[in-house]
Amino acid sequence: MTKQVFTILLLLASLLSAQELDIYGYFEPQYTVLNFKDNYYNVSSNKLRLDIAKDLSDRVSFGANFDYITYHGKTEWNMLDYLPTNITAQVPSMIKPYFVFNFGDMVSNIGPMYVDRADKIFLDNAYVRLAFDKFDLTVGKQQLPMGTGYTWNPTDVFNHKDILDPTYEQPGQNAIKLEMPLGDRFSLVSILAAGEEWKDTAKMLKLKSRLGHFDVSVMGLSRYWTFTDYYSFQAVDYKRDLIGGDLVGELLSLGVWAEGAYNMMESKSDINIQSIKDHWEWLAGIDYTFESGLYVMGEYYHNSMAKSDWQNYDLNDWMWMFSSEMKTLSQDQFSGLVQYPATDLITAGLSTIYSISDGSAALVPMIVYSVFQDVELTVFGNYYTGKNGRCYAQNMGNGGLARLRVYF
Amino acid sequence: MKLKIIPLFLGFFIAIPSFAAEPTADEIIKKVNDLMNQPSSKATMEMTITTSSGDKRTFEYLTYSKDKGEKNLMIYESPQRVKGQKILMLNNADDIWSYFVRTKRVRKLATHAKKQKMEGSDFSYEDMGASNAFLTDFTTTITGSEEKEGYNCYKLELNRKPDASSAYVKMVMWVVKENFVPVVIDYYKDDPDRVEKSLYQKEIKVIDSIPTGTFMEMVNRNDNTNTIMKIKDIQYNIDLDDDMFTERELKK
Repeated sequence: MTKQVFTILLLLASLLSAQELDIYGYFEPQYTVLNFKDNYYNVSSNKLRLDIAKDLSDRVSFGANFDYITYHGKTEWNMLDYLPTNITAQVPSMIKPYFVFNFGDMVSNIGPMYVDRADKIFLDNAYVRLAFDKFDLTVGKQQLPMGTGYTWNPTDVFNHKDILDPTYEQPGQNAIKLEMPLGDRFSLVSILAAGEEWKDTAKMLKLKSRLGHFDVSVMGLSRYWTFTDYYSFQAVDYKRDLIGGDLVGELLSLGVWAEGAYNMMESKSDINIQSIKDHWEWLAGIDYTFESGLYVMGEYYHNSMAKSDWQNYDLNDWMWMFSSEMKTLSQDQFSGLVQYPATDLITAGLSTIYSISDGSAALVPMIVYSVFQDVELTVFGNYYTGKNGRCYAQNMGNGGLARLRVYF
Repeated sequence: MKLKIIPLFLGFFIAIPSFAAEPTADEIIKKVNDLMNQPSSKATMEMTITTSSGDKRTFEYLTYSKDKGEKNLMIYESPQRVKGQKILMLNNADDIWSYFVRTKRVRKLATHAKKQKMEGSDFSYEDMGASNAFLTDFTTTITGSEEKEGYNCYKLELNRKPDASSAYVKMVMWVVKENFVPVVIDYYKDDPDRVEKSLYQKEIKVIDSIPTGTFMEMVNRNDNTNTIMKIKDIQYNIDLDDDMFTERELKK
């Protein structure tokens, strides 16, 4: 790790001495406390994000950022602790150790599960943007924001949003993105995100348009998608063909948006997980700002592959939600947000994620405070209301998070 | 509703010579409105917020405006927290897009977003570009002539039309007779008898042959806070490419 840090510092020093670069970023210490099974656990992290950018000419620009994150406190977690007892009873004892994962200094992951929060330093983004007369080409590791939804994005198969913190920045993806204006009102976006082979390379084509006061898009995408069968801990590849679209605009003075996709799933191996099927995913949302500055937002989300009866949730359903292999555990959900500028420097809010299917909810009170110029403190809590076995069950642990961000 | 947002407030600073005959209320407010719609402009602005506890926050941003304010682009330069953030407004701000540099996301906003405070300041986005709204959302009457801030002014009262969507039920405006600059505007939100906040325009200078106010202060009567805006640099009637005012440009 030390070697990596020195290498990056050396690289930055060379870049700095070579030419004038725009350098900025932030430092973000974060402290999380969780009340779980009558114990209070602490997890903290320190994140340093260093961005560099350079406009090499009117037509060529370069951007990159490194992230260095350390984790402290309780760094070992057993996912089985979060599952209902009737689910954990189905897990064969010989594979139970695979549900334990660690993060922290020099600790490697156990088991095949993808863990996104290991202590790490990495190149988050590095891309060049080439502006031709008729189109722009962005090549390299880059953020690929998709869709108009706030809490969920049915058309997004590149990012994994945290539904309790959906506006947090997403990591970069290796891709080539072409954006081509077609007259005043249309544009074409094409993305290739490389896989190991051409067949598992994500390919996306999107046509965007302005219709009246609405932005509308239709898209098609094909990529490989891996589901893990957690009963056997076996990864199963599926070909995922998606057609969908989104819109955002204004209706009767309300902000409105919608996003939807139909997913066609085809197993590419001899194994076929029974619950994986072609499915719809869609959402619709509205928002409004009152004269007082009070902002309210509501968003409804539906996923036809997810289950509508909580008693049918199985081990795979739970783990797919935890691992972001699926965006949801329950079929129908609602996300709401109320936000109010309490003072010039403080914004207070309350968001909720409510599972319509099983009646459970997560409540997230939140305060954002501008402590000093370029120093921002975000504090939010999470409180689960549901009974054991529901999507947002009380036994998953309640807690809170304080995040200080210092921009430079 | 035709509200103009960011660069249009520049119109508050702009002055033109007066005419000899006494104009009507509609003529005065139209002249004020015309001042806010220069063919094109580019400016560097500094906004300083002073909170009730005395804390200050300073923002700097560039504004570009074209086609008499029909197209507007705003780019934050500082502080680092918002640097690179952009807001594009077309069709007199009936279409608004915001670009968030850290997520690289372009988001279309509904016009109700104009009621939100601009970076926690005492200016809402609506305050920043009340130009066409003076004509479309309000009925104007002359209530007298007064000395205000050292100028001989028309005193106007603007009352919101029944179907208008402005956040303000009433405004009282003092317009300098000599040049039609609105040197003071009182804003009334819910109660037509209670001033919510007041805008003061000062330090009028001649820039590119156009008399221009370079200092604006919004005082919030309820919160005991204020926000000051200064023009650090401004150019009028310059060539701006239409491509600047596109989603493609936002992402650059």
